[in-house]
Amino acid sequence: MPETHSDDPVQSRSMSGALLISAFLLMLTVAWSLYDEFYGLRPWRSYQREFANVYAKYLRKKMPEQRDREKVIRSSAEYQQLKQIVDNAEEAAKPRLREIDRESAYLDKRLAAIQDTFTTARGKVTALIYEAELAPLDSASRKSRLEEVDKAKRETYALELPTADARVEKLKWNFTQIDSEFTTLKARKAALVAERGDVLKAAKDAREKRDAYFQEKMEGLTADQLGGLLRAAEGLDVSIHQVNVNPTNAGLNNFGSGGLVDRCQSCHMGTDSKFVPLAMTLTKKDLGLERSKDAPFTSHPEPELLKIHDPEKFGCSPCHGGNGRAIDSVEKGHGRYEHWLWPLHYAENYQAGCQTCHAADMVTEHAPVLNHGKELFRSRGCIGCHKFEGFDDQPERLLATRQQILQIEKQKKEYEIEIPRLNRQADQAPDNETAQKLNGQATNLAVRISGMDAKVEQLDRKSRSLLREDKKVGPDLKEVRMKIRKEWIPYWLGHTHEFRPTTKMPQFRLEPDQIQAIAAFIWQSGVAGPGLTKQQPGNAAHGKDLLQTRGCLACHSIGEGSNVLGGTFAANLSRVGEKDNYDYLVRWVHNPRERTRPYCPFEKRDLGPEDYAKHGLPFLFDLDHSKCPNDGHPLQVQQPTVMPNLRLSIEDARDVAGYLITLKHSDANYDAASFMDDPKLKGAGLKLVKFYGCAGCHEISGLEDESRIGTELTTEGSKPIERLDFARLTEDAQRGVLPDEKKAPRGSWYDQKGFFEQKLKNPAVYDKEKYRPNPLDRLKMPKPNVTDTDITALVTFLLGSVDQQLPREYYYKPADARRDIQEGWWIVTKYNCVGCHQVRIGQQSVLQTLPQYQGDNKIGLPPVLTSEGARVDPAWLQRFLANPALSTTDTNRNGVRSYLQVRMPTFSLSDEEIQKLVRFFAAASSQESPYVPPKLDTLTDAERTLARQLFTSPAAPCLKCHATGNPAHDKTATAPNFLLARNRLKPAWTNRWILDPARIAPGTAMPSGLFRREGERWIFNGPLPAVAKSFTGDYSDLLVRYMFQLTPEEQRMLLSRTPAAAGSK
Amino acid sequence: MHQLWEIASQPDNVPIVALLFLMPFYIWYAFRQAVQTDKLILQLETNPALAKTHHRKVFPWKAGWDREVHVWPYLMRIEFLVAIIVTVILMIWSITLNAPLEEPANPNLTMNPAKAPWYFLGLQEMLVYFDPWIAGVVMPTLIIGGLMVIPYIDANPLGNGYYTYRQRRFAIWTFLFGFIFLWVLMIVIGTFIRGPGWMWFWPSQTWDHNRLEFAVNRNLDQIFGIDGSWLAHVLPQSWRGGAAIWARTIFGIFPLGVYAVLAAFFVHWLCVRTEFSRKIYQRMSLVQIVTLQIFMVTMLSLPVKILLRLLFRIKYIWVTPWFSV
Amino acid sequence: MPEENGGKGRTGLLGKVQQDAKALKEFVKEKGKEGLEGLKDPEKTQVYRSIFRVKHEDTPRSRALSVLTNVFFHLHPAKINRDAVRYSYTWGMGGITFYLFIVLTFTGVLLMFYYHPTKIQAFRDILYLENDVPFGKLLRNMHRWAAHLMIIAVWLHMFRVFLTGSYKRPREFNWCIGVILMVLTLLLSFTGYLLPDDQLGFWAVTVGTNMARATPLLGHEGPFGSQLGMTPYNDVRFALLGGSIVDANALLRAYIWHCIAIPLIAAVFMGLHFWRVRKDGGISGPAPVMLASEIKDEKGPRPVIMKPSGLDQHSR
Repeated sequence: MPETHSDDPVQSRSMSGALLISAFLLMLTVAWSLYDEFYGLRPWRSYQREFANVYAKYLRKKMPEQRDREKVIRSSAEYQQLKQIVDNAEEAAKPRLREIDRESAYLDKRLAAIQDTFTTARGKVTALIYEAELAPLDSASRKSRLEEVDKAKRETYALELPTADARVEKLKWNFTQIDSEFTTLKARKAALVAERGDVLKAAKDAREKRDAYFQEKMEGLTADQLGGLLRAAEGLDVSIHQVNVNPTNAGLNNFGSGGLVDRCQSCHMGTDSKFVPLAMTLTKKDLGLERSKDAPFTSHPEPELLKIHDPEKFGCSPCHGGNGRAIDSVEKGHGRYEHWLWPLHYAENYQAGCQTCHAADMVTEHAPVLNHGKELFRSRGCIGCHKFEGFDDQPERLLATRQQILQIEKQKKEYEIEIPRLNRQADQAPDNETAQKLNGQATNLAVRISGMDAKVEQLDRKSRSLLREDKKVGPDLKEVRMKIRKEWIPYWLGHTHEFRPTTKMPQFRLEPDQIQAIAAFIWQSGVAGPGLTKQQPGNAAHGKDLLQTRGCLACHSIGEGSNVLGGTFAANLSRVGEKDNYDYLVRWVHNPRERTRPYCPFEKRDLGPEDYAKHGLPFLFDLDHSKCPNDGHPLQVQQPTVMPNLRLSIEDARDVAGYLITLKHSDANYDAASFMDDPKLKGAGLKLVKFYGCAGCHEISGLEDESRIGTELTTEGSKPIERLDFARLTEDAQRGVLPDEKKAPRGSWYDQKGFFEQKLKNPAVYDKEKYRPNPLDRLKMPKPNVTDTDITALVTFLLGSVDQQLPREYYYKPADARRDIQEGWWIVTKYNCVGCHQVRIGQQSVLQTLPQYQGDNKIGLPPVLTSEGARVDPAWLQRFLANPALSTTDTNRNGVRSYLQVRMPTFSLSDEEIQKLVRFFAAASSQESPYVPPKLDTLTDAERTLARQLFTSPAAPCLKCHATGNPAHDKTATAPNFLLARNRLKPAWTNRWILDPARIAPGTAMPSGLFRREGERWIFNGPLPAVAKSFTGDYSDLLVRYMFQLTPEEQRMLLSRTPAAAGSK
Repeated sequence: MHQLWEIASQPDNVPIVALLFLMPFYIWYAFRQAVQTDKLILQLETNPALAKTHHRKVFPWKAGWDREVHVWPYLMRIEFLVAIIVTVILMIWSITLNAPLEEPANPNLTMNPAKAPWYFLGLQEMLVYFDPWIAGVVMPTLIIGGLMVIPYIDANPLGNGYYTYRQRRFAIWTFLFGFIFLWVLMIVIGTFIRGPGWMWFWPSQTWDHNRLEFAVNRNLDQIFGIDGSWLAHVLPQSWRGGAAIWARTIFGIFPLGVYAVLAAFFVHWLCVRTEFSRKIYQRMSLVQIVTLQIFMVTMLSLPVKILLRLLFRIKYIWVTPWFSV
Repeated sequence: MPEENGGKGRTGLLGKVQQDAKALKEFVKEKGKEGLEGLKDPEKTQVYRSIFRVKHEDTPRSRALSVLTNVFFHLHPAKINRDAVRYSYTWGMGGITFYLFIVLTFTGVLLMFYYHPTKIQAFRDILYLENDVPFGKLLRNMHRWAAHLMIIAVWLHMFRVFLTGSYKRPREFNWCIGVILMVLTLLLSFTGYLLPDDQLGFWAVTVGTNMARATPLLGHEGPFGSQLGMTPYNDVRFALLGGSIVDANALLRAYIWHCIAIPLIAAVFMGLHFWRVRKDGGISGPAPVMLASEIKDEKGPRPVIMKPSGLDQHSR
């Protein structure tokens, strides 16, 4: 048998070396994998440790401060006083307490002593009774057993009971005695306990007062609370902190099979209320960490938001984006890596998160940036080209309605043909039966037709209100011939932003020939007449005054450059004089909605006098005469502008126009534009106008039904990056090189955010380096007139506009009153109510910011509407909104506040809009609807006389300020007429109002403190007339009732009595 | 270069990069041994006496050494060693490189380029030159079939169990051609060269998704202007309509036939070049020869078609109503 | 023992006690020694024997037995060609492939604990593996990379086998099995590609299966396919995907193929492969070179002379 050969390389070669080394390597890799698993992939461990010690440091620093604070408060007079009260109360309670305690101590001893004997005795007796009950009624055995019971009851026990005076009495008691003694003792004890509570109550209340005071004075947490936090921080166990949400339909977005798991707080521990209570804010400075990127420990910047979106219910990533599960690296966790579709929002865009669920809100609390973005999207006419769900879609709905109507009418025609046919058949029918059947069918059809008429009538109503609601961002270009100076149009197209730096109109990139064609088309497609009535010149000075007082500046601005004055909602009027025709301007100011010719959506043309003449009708059309003479369907009788009718007299209108026409640059002159009348250009112009989607913002004849030309943006934020065409910039974007060759601060901008930002900065940017000889091949989106902040806002809005990716319950789709608020805001912002009124607490109207309404002039401001819903009767509000003059004849005034210079204009809102507004105000001040006015008990004569005297008492001469309808008197009036109250106001609110107006409308002229509290009732705060003696009721209530039952005569009578008013006579 | 790095650093492409280094290494490794053996063979052939006595291996040998060794431990230890090393490599690879995970599957969002797994890229590359039914179905079948018949058509008894080149020139060249050139190389091209739209990007070029390429690919018959006009005269009236189609169909057969014949001759010539190869050729049965020819001719058609396509922009050789080649 | 110290009273008793004590000591010492012996070479212990059946010495016999009597090792012969142990010849690629297959099975089974082949969950489960499962990332990575490595190993193995002409008689059939195994390996990897249900896998599989459309006769876009009434809803691709698009069914099918069907088939063929390696006379070489002059020039197949490899060398 062969032994191994030492010289045989195969056998003698040893591999132990290699084996050893590789085995060792294996060990190493295993060790490495372990390290990687427990440390490499767990950076949060170190974060947590760091947090623990910086936080602890902070708390240690803070605690003494807080303790000092507490000292200060404790040593303050008020506190001492309260404390004194407490001490006194306790002092007072002491003696009685001492007695109670002594007695109960004695009771306890005695009870203890008697207890055992009592239980034994009772046990014995009850057992015997049970025995007796077992025996049949009135049987011998029963009787004998009952005797047993008596015996047991009579049996005596030796007792040694302590007495009140600390002696011990030896007793021999039977069960009955023991029992009674025991129960009395117990009862006494209970009584004492109760009494003890009463005795202490005073002290307890005082103590609560003291603590409450301390709480309100003490800002921040107390040292002890901090101490608790400190202990928590010091004893922090390093572990993952995660939020688990298990929504109903998981599986959307990055919701894993186990629902949402957000581990963000494993590093962002400052946002975890377990460590940092919501009441406490933790800034980088507090922690001494200026660069938070290495230490993301600050508390959530908006605790308010966390209160309404409890992280335990919502998690973090649904709002902020990012990969909530991943915690093995910052970029993974923030989802800022390729292939993660929901990256963390950047700081400036974080409100995009709100949009995800609040897409249906026009105004979202806590999200100013987002709101601004939405506002811009609408007011700058983005919506004109880009469809966006939830935004104004009247054009589409109008079209749909019209289609329906046509459909039905077609059907109707068919029926009308069918009926006679059926009848004929019936006549030739072989037998009666068939004849009847056929006739029956005929009648049914007839009935059907009537039903259709009903339907059509409804649809017409609908389209009528839609026609009212349908507004365009830009002016009606059918009117150019009457309105605009011919030469100005081409200039404007080329120099939009130079001419008016604040304009909403974007700057289109047009070649000279394109401009000519467009201008020519617009000019030639405008309606020619009937011509305007020639107006005499107006008084510019008075016009200027009106402009500034009637409230025009709530929307419009005047002045250029630094001294612009007024709102940004509508155009800046500083150069109107250069372009507008005076006569037209007068008509416009007098009633902006007035059209030269009505538009018939069915014939698709503007009707002229001839059409009316055909039917022998006068050429008269307005909201009350909006039927098409040809087809009977509603016409567009208004100009599609949101500008309301201020109900100025024609003279005033002339004056305003007269002023406006003077607003121009002295050097303004435009080159003649003969081409404007060149018919050859019209065709080309039409093509271009269609191509650039001008009809999205303007009404242009022939293009009324043009649909929006841009991409729908409803879910633009979640458009795959591959679908966003960066064109030649793709590579630059990925490498973080901006179009201007600068380095992008955040590196690669190859993402939605980057795309939107650059696109908005310069819509042509993605044509860079492209060969596009034909201008129509270039990107056509015009350059919007926006600042960088605007862009951020818009980008935020777009980034948040993503397709459904969260579970349903996340979305804010309220069904209750909050929905009314949601809907209302769309109207409120559409017509810029906030320009004149303060609608939301904390919001400021444009007028409030104007210089002419500062200080005492505040009285001139329109009413604050924060409590409108509580104040007015919805039915009345409805009437008022429909006709703010509250009169059909005398319209050149305010219906309620005739004394105000500012004019509540007529918006000619659609019924639906009015409904929404009314519901909005009701909901906004948490009013139940429908509102049923409460029945007020009628005044007794005594009450009336008292009320009269109070009304006219020199201490509070109501009629001094309140209007009465008497022109002489009202000249000085600064408050509404009492006669309105009955239908307008809600008694409850009125009561609150007269008690403390300042609370409802700070800075109101209405004096506060008219009443003082006396016991359970409010009584008039001034010299009480004799009759008052008998009156035991509530004065404010009395006056309210009086007010609501006031009659014109009564008021006139009062007026004659009012000293001041009499003086003004 | 940036782009090249982009691709090479894709975790999923690491194996291909590895392949780029492994293949040459092992080819060299094999051929070094082949050369040694061939030296020995030459020596033995020139010296029959030695041939009688020599143990006929390149490895050292002394009388008395065991001709066989125990598997345990002599083989086992190596196996263990290899196992350990592989494990180490694998673990390090796994710790340092993460397996790719992209966006959730989205049928509405086509990836550009949409690439098959790297080991199938050869076939995908073939799609450029052939219709899917050839590249995707016929070829794989032929490849598998071809591989399987190798043992049965290789009539050369030599070189069984040792590395040699001179004893199996033909076999080795064929295999290298098929494996390295037609398989591995195509994969490399598919990975590194083919960008968006499956267009040809040199490693220095960046993959521009908007890149446009203009290329008209004609069919052979178009070049020859076959429109079936002449056929139309011959055909009965009712058939005239399909004349063009028929003409093309018929026409297409010729170039293919010609190619087949030429290729066959070429293969034949290869087989009878040397006296030795003639000897082997003798040993082959008719069936073997035919099979060999079929597979060789098909295999050679690949590069031919590739060249035709790349140089002359020819799409199809043979167009029929049902399929095209 | 009584007769030794009979009659000696107390001392006797004392002595007896002492003796017993000594005996006990001896006994304990002896037993202890045995115990130590046992520890010294465990091969003598019953436990060891029960497990390994033969004790191992450095004798050829025991070396042979240690392979033959071990279910795992006995794939190998007891002895092999002395030069075959050289890495330079085999490159160990076959072995590596097999080892990787084992690794893949192991990791794969672990992965299956966390994976649901459904459209809703598949992708989330991968996220779950990446972020939540202990060692999940490592597990997944290893599975993926091992799969790639295995393919390379297979190719190199085939390359080596070809270059050493090892497919030649008598191993023709085993080569064919090898080819099948290679195909199976590719299919395994391909089916696994889809499982994460991400864009990468989805489109890779889409591209891959789109080729099936063009299958002659069986694909609706293939030659004569439409003539045979093939539509997207009944052709071979539909059969592969369980639908006309890559969707839930495709995912499930891929999963079953990947985790059950193909591994089973592959395992069977592997067994066959290894078995044939043994039966065809162990690994092919390094065999002694054969010279052109020695070719017997008879045509056609020859009967295969089965000899355990290595023994036939100096048969002349």
